[in-house]
Amino acid sequence: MKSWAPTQLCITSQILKINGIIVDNEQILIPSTQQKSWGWPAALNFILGGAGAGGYLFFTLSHIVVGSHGMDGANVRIFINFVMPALVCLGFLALTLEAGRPQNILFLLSGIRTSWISRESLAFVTFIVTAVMSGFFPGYFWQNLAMISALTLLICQGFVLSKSRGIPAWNLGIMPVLVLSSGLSSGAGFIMILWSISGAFLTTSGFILAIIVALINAAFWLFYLMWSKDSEFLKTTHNLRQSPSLAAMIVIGHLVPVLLLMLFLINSGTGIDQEGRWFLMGTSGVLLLASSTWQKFGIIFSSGCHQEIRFITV
Amino acid sequence: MARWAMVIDLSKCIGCGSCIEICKQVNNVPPESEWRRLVERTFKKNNNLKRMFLTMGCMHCDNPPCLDVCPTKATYQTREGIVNIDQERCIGCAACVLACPYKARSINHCARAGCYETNENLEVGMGNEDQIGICSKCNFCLPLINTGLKNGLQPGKDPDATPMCVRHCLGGALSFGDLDDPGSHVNSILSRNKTTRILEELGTNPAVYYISDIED
Repeated sequence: MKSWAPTQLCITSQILKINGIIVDNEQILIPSTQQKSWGWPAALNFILGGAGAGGYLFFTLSHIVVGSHGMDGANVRIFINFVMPALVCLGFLALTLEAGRPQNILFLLSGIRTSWISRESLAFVTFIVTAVMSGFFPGYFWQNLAMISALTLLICQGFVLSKSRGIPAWNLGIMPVLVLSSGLSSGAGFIMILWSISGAFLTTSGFILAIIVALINAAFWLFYLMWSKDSEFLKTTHNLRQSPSLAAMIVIGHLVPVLLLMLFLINSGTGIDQEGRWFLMGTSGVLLLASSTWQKFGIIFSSGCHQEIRFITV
Repeated sequence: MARWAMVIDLSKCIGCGSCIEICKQVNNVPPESEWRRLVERTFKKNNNLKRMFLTMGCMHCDNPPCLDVCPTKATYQTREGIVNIDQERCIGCAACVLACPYKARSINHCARAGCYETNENLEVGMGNEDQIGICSKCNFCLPLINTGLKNGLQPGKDPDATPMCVRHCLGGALSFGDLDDPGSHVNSILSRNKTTRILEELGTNPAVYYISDIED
């Protein structure tokens, strides 16, 4: 198989010495290297699964809060009940490119008692079925089931990462929450893009929810980067904590969309014309979707480094 | 109930790589996989240079992180503690590869790179097509151990029931035996020497112990 990611040494203890943390280089048996097992297909699963399930979750939450959605009912049914599950399906199909023997998919639910991948697979199937059923039979029953499945899917994706004991930057308790917030953020972004293309607007509460989701995602990203003082974690997430990367992620990816959405709300009905308001909403959506996508790339590729193996005598 | 373990005396390891070569040949290790690896390091201690060879493979942990993450239950652990892979069930998702802190596992995708095409330069024992797309790793030569036990042999003592790397170690650095047998060779070594286990702080409780003369 061609390497999806280039083989490269991840940041070594040498860098930590410069930053004042002393690590004995001589104890390193096998230095940290970038993982090559999960590449673009796995990243797509997290990105599309997040956008699809997150979008469904965002929409139903704002719908529950407000009771309306600002768009023609038929289009909403198509977008929410068919396009969102289709995104999740595409992500899952991308995974089959990564699996070495996909024909053994029959055994995929065997590990349901312990494996988060098994649970994610079950949540995936449940979400697809219930979301599509909700499209054909509108009502709270199928919608609520689909919402629970979407939430479960996102949380399972987070746990899949957090159980990777060999990857210090993934093996963290915050990962399920981060993947959930990232999914909601990308879902909100995707919905805003769809709505602006369709010539509709979110309701006021939808915008407020989008602002909250964006701020929460930015906060969780910062929490993630500060989560641990463990030297392995600091080394493997070093690139993500560099100023340009952080500025792009927090400021451009989250604060700018929040400002644009607040501008939209403040000027609602006056000042900015309709095209201008679509532009504000669409641009916010693009930035939120892009930043959430970039989060996933950063987690899978940039900080996806194997545990450094050291030999320490007693 | 036996608990199989390996003890490696680093002062006896000469870095010949026999353990790796015999493992590759006997177990048909796929070209992209490393069931056993040899690490060479030079340490500077008290202004002296010390050269060390360390061989490592699957640690057959008591608490293997790879076990719970497997969605198809292809990865299983025998009652004697050996972690093995059911090739018929493995889907090749690589969750176990990422769960293992020791980088002991790998997925063989070699067929896609054309490694199994007719190639006169292909090494002997370069894996077979049954292993394409699935995970593989050291299994302490489990089939050999099981056959030996059926024939009344004692793994670690009788060569025909002992992992090939241990049997063919030129320096006599590798030992294998039953931790639950107080009279076993490995227990005898462990009681007489200070040992260490790699990444023990992760709580995996590996079944491979190292004796080292390198002091911190």
